[in-house]
Amino acid sequence: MTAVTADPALAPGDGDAGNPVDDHGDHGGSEHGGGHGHTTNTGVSNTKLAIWAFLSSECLFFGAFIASYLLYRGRDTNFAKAGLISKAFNPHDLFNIPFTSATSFILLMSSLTMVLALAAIQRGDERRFRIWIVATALFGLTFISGQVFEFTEFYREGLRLSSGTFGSTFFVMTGLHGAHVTVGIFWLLSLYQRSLQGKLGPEKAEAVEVAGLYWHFVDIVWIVIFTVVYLVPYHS
Amino acid sequence: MLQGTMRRPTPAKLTALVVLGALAVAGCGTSTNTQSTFDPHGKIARDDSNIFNAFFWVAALVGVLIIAATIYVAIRFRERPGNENPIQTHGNTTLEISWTIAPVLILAVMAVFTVKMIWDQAAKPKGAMEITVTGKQWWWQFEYTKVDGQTRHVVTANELHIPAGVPIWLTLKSDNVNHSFWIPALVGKKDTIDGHQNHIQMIADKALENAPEAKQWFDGQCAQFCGLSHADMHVKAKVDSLAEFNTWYASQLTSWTPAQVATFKKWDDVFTCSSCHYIQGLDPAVDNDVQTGKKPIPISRGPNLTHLADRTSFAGAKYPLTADNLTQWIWDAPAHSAGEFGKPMECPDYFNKSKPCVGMADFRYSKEHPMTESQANDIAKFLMSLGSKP
Amino acid sequence: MTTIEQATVVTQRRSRLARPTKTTGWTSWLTTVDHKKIGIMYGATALVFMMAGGIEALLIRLQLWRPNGTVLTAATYNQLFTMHGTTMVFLVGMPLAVAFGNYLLPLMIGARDVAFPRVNMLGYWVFLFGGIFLYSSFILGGAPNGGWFGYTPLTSMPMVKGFLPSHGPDFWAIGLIMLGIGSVTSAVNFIVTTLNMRAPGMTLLRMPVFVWMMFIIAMLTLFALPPVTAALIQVYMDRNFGTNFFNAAAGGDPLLYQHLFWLFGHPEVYILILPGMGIVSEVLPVFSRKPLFGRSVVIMSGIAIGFVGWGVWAHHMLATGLGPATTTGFGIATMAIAVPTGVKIFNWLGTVWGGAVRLTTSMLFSLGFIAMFTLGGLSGVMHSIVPSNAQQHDTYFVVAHFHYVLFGGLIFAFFSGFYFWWPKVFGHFLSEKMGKVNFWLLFVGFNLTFFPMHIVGLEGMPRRTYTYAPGHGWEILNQLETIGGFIIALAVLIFMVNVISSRKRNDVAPSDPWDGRTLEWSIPSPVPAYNFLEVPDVHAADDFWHRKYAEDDEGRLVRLPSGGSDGGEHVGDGSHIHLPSPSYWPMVFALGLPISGYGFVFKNWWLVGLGVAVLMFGLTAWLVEPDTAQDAH
Repeated sequence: MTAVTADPALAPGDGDAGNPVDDHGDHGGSEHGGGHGHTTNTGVSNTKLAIWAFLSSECLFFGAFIASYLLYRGRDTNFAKAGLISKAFNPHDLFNIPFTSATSFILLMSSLTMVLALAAIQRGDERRFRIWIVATALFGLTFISGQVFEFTEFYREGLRLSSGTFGSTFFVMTGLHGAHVTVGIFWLLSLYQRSLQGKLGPEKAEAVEVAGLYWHFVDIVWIVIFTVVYLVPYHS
Repeated sequence: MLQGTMRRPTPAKLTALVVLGALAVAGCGTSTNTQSTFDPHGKIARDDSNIFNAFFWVAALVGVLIIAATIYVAIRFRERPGNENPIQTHGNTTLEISWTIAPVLILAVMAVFTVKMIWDQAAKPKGAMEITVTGKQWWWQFEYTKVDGQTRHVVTANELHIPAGVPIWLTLKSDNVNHSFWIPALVGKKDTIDGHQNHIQMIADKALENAPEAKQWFDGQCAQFCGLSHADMHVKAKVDSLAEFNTWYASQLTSWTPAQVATFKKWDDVFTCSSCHYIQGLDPAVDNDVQTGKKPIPISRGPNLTHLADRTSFAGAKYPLTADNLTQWIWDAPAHSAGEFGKPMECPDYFNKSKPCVGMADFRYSKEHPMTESQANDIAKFLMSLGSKP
Repeated sequence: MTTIEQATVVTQRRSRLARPTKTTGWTSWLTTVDHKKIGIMYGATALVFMMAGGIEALLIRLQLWRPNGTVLTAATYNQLFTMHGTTMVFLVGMPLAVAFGNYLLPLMIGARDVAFPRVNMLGYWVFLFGGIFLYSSFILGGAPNGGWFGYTPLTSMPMVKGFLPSHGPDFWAIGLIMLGIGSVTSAVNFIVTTLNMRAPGMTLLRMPVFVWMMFIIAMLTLFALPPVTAALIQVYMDRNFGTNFFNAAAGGDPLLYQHLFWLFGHPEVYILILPGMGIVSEVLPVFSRKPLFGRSVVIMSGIAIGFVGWGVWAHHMLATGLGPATTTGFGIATMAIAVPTGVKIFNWLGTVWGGAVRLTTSMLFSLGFIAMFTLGGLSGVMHSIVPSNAQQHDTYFVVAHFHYVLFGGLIFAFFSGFYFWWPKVFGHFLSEKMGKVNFWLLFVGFNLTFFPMHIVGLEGMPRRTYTYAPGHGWEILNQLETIGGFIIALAVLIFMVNVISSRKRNDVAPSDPWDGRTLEWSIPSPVPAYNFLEVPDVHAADDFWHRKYAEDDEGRLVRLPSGGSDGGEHVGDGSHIHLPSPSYWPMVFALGLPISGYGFVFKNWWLVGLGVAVLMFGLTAWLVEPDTAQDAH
């Protein structure tokens, strides 16, 4: 039975031998956690493999919305005529590029603080971990606040969900991205709270790493959305 | 290409009959079926049928061989005393390669013919007559946009008149849900989709011009699910000789006389028919522009009723055009259709904006526009009296 | 290894959120995280939905018994054919595959459970609640009525515009999004389990073909569900919030929906059929006493189907006017996918060839699968001939085609699997005598129902029509189909009787009743909670077989003297094996989804909020509950 000993992932117990804590620090219900020092067939822990699979699925989810957006891009040329918006329609008349660039930059920076948080927890520096994880969540919150402000501004200018295809694709795509960021903020704060309770030591670094993977993914999606929506010029 | 070898009438069907004797009896009753792909009367439908038949035989052969092999192995290799421990073969590279390559070869041949036909059928024939087909809920609108020697467009519904042997280029569109235009004996189907324009070519056999009239009619049906009355959305095609067609075309361009208009107005004022149905001659100013060729015949939300009497059916070709049927339809259309014609769309686009749009309402029970059965009967009789044929 | 001493250390802190401990009794089914129990629940639930879908089909057939039928109204008919399709795809086909996968996948790779038992449980409850949610629409203002494919703008136009004047399409969009969440969680679980939890020596190429096929469909599910989820969100938004994704008048494109839907829908076809291929690939070798012919080729062709399956979606749209270049490409890709499919059929025949065939019920169903699936495959190839497709598309010919694939194929394979693994799962045999009757009735009924559809379709009868006019020669064929439908119902009824009476008769099954090849036959029937007393050491594909048999110089089978199904390895009661404790919370989490769902359908944001609150509560409790029960040891 030495082979089994070498492969504890096969034992479906939650009990993580030699790791006497009662909570695996998993999210989304990893029973095994694929704890440290254990090997799975692939060498990648179950939880990490799962989050990679999930994120690859998410790629197609956002891909579908981005593709819809690109298909319709530039189709709405004259909203004034349709009475939908106060002026001949070019999305760049609505955008405040410096503002959105600033919030986008803040979101990108949150990936950096996320990396710092992970590094801190890996070396056991729980105090720094808490600082960086809160910073990450705050950066995310700043981004979301910016989005809420932007949505309000656009609405005030007359852009609606029903404003041609731009209104539909823009609000739904960026809205769903914002929802993902919001979920991420809750996730980060839950890690912070567990750290406060002393339940998030270095042996739980993977829980942070997995949250980080999600956070980086959401950031990358924003880079794509920001580029295709805000940066590429519209010809009307 | 394939016509030469595939002249036999309906080999695929015949085989099916052989395969299932009981079904054969059922299948035989189709000689009067005017909606069958087995009995093509146009070039495109015949091409479709020929390429189907050719590969049907290949598929049938493969199918029979595999099923026979399945039965054979199950019986031949049944466990018997002495063979409980068969030789353990794990695979055979030669076999694997050959049964990979064999289907590839068959499919390659199939692909060549398929691709050629795809491109042949996609091309617009030279000098084609052009007709725009619009799928409605739940009827078909035909607008003849290019007919040799004609500057004016005929607009009609549900029944398509085409001259035998003349190539036709159909433009298919929709301003509502998706439909699919399909007359099996003449042409395979293509969808009508809002925001898109699709095209198909269609050529009815030249020989049909001399056929008895009963053999000149073909049935088709909407093939894309389009809501409650999808199953009732039929289409008919009448193949004419060129002379017949020209006569028919000319007749469709005429307008109602002032006397006819006057008769109709007394109903129209109450039941607002013309908010959705265009009638040539109803508005003299518009009609003048049409007759002088300044404007095409306006497209109304409902079918153009000017020459309803020249058609054989109505309501998506569901009902034969008889005075009784038409009376009941005018009196209480919702009782005679699954979906509500005209009504559901909130009439955002009704045609004659001077009159309110009520759709094909249940006038029988209407409080605002109550209609008696005899009124309905009068309207029906009036509409049916306006045919160009004596 | 993990022993009781080490495992007990885990629970130090007492928690208010104690985990349930019962593993017997009916309440244990509500909280179980055991992959086997969850598998059985998936199967049982899917069979109930199969009854519902079957009744819908019978009503449809009654309506079409004669021209101008008056059994159903058009409105009811449209609801029934929509729910029949939706049910059979999302509530029967996929969950039955997950049922087999759940039960067998860990056993076949020598694992004690799936990677995420509680996520597994979540998947089941989401499926059950999603199904109930969809069916509740019948009493809450109208079931979905826009077809299982839900083409826009029919489904996406706001309700007030009246194309589909009921909440049906909203139920459909929200329900499918919900079921999609369940499917993706199962897919992630299967992928991680397959990749990470194989027994020592169980290399990827040694995995049973069934495991391979489940792995491939998990990958397909992972990537196919997101596009349709996006499309359904767009439909819902168009319908309820005035967006213009599919509104051509405002610049949208109804055809975008079809691309997104079939980008899911075609891989979905393979998600449905590959498990069937996997089951057949396990059954045929056992009852032929020969290894699967060209095993690696069968696996590779499964992978090939998985890849090429992404390149053929637009063959569902050949009539939409994509242009000759696009239709050429998709036509040829569709022909190409026939090759790996054909290769599998030949390999199955090669497996039986020269074997020692036992015509058990399970074997009959597998052989029936080969024959019927072949016919379905061949009519599928006919669709790739684009000009001929223009005549077949959206007619009963297509209905015949995919029922030959999904009923003659998939459902036959599932029945084969039922008769094959029933003794393993429940510890007693199903009656073979009734099984044979079951098979032949189903075979005859199936062909009587669906073969005439080929002809009636080519004779011009379109699908999804609630009525037809007399005079086209369709009457007798439709009557045969209806008779066939009721014969199918009788066959399924006999299966149900077989299930019940066999349980009463209790013809006890040994651990290896069929002389099996894969690991699940090496452990007792029914399988104990811990699966393997000792995790097996795998040395070959079909490892259990090679423990029993060797080959002589000619390649003839020789039984090993010590080989046997009940070796001495099952000593002990397994009480020292630590298993994950049951949990309440995944069910609570899942319950939040339909609550929110009703809120979205009726635009009641309080209800949406309540659903989210329930969901968050379930999730939080799930995350903070202890990893084991307080007194689980």
